[in-house]
Amino acid sequence: MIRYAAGRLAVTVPILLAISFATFWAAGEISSPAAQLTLNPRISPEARRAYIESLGLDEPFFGRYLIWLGNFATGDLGTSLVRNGQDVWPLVRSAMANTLLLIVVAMALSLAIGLAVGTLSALRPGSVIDRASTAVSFLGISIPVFWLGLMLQLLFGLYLAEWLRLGAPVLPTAGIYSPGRQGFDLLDRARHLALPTMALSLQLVAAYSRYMRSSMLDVMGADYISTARAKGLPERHVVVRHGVRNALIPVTTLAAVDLGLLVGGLIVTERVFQYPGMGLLFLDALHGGDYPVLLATVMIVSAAVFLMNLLADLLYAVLDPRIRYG
Amino acid sequence: MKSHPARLSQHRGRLRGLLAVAALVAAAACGGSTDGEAAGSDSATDPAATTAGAAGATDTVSDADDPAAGRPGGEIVLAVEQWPECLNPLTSCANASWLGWSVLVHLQAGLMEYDEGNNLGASPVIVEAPSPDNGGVETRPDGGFTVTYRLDPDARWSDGTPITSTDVWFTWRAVLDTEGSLNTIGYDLITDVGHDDPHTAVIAFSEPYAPWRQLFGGLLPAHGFDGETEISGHWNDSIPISAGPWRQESWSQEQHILVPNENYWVADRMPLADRVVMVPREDTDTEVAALQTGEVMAAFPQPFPGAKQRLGPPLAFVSGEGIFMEGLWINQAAPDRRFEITAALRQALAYSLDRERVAEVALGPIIDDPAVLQCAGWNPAFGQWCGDDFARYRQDMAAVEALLAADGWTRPDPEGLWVNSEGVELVLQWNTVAGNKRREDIQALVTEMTKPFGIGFQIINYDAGELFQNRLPVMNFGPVALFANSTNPDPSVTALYDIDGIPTEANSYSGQNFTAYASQMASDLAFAIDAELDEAERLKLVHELGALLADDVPWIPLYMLPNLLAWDPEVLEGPGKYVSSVYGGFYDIYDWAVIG
Repeated sequence: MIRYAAGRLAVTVPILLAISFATFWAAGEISSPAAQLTLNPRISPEARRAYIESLGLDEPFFGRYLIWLGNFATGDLGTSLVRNGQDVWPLVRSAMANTLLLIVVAMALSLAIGLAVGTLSALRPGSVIDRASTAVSFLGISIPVFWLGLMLQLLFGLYLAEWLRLGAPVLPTAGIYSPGRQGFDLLDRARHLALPTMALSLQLVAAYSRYMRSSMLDVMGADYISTARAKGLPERHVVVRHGVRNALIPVTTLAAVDLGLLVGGLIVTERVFQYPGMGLLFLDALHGGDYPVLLATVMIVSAAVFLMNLLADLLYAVLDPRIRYG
Repeated sequence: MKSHPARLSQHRGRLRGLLAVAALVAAAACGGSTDGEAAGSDSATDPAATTAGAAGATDTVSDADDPAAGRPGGEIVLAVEQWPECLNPLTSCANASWLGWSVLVHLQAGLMEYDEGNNLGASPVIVEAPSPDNGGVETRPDGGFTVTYRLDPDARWSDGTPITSTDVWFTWRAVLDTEGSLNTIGYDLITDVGHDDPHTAVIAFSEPYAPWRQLFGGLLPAHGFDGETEISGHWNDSIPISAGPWRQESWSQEQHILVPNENYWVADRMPLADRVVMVPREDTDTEVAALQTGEVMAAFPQPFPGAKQRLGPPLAFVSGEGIFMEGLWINQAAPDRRFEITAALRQALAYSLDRERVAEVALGPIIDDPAVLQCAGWNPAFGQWCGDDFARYRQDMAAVEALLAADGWTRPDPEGLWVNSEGVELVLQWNTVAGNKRREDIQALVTEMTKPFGIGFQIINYDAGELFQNRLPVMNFGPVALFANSTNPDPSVTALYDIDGIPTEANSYSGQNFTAYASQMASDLAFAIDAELDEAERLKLVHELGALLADDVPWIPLYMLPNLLAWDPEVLEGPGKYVSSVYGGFYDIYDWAVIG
């Protein structure tokens, strides 16, 4: 398994290099920090040129790329082009911590609910619970997150407060702390995490419940389940020990892959809820042509996706003894 | 402490009245004192006039008064649509409008300042606006000229240090010495800033520079930078010293907190609230939702479709002209042009447009009665510079026919397109930003609108980066492009019409004359406007250039993109006066009061 993992990691390096090159090229094509100076009549062409030179944007493309790559390989993520030389790493670190918190909370919640709902549905196919969960799941998968986010904001920020005559929003609709609050406050932080978690979880719950249901239906029809029942094991034991455990294998790998994707895939959620994570950092960097920040976010997200995919594959082997990598 | 003559709004008068009663009660109980401000005074709002008065009969509050004593208090929470990446007022950070609107205008003071009508006048830092009449503006025999500012001895920084002519000198040097300083125009014409007398700054220019009033819009404290005039490494994440009504308590990527500057010397601009908290709400829907839910009290959103409905009761909003003029920019040097883009052709295009309808489609979902921009380079919200020279351009088939026929075009099929002598149809490539719904709607509308006039378009749109970064600077667009250009309160339009400012390979594509409008007369007039120190003469030159531009139609102005300022009237009183201000709608938050 170690050899397999090493092989996979070796393949990852050239892919990451290709991604970095493509991103570097695309970042320069899409936007530049100097672009927004073009239409400002108070800025002379000389000042604009000097600005471009000071950022090194007038250097040859490959030269700039190789310098960036060399620095990146040694752990130097560089400095931001639009934040007056601020180091990229603290920006990324802070954003990543926020995003990871959101992902971990949302995934834990989604797995708990999704697996439970999926299991229940599979155990009683065609029941009211099954039909209701199927309908809700399809709804959850179909609703675009930007719309869902806005609806959640209006519901919990405005309508519930009006209907219940509360005089204040039930939940804050954006940010990570209440305006004016300084220093860490667990309750306030948790309240601000609630709506983005809900928006994210609805889709994850929908997906996990569907996967779990399907997987459980397969497993519960397997021979070893019949054998377990024939041995006289209690049904609860059969379901939990033999059914759920085996049904978890595909869902676990799916969750691992999701984890990697979500690190960079929260752009819409973070934008809607003004949640200062990797998605928002990526967007700001993209709009501002801040390629050191942009590249750092893309590379970290890409690496996360690869690592999580690898983890999923390895988990597969751990969870299912029949699978061996060699 | 001195104050400018009061420009207090009614609500402030009411609040002060209530406070006066409360203060009287308090005074009866414990011998407290109230400030000496003339509540409810409604003297002239012209800053020049008010400053003249400032030297004489102004409100005076003794230093012994507690500035916080009369403050109603409360916390104002504002949504900021674009969060500044850094705070340095000279470097690239300063190119973001929101740095000014959310940070600098509350913490910095200039020598001159704009009022809510965007008229330049004396700021509280000086005792009167320099003019030829008071000897403040003098032309020298060597061709240069000198501006002398007399500083108010009461003016001081938030740490109590007096604001002196050394700070003016320091600001000049910092603008020129700071690496990456973006806006050095005008400062590079200054040969010296005399600061022998701490209360007199003598600014010597090497040549006449009419927009001199715009310089020194944000003074820097000489004592705040350890004597270094290269300040790119300073003030990137905090502005520790203020000369405005507020001082900065903290700034981060999550929030910006302002508290009253207790050392501010202008009594009638002392903040009414105890604290202002600004939070980023960069998505317009989220911003509006935050306003609706009461999480923020006011927002200054960019114009968006449906604004009238979403910002209506129970919210309140006002609109005004913003700083961006949108129009059809005609690139006479477009590489893809199939024929010469003559003046007659440009005029014909202008006569084929129903610009009222275009403005209605573009802005109707946002504001009531959108106005058409009738001048090519000036903002109607700024002074009297913008005339109505383009008003003559209304849809007129006879004018189109006459102009194009005289220009060698024929229209073999009365329902078809005009054709030139080489058989090329009158089809203009038209670029704008892909995905911008307002602009794409306008393209669809105008394409249909000009069909009966025999003028066609080939629509090719690009993302903003490609259009503004890669194509515009090297003139590789158009002949027609729809975009917005920013305006300035000063009427200088040299950047737009300088004949040497047409970006070409020969000049390494420097310059911003993106229409390739090669009129020597217009260029000379633009330079003459920059050099004319007499305001009345300057206005005449501007109007002369305005008439010339309407004849030549280098581009077709459509409308000013509006500003919107929205707030919750249940919790906030006072917003609205500065909606069209170059300082942004939040400028006068010192005068906003929290209700309840």
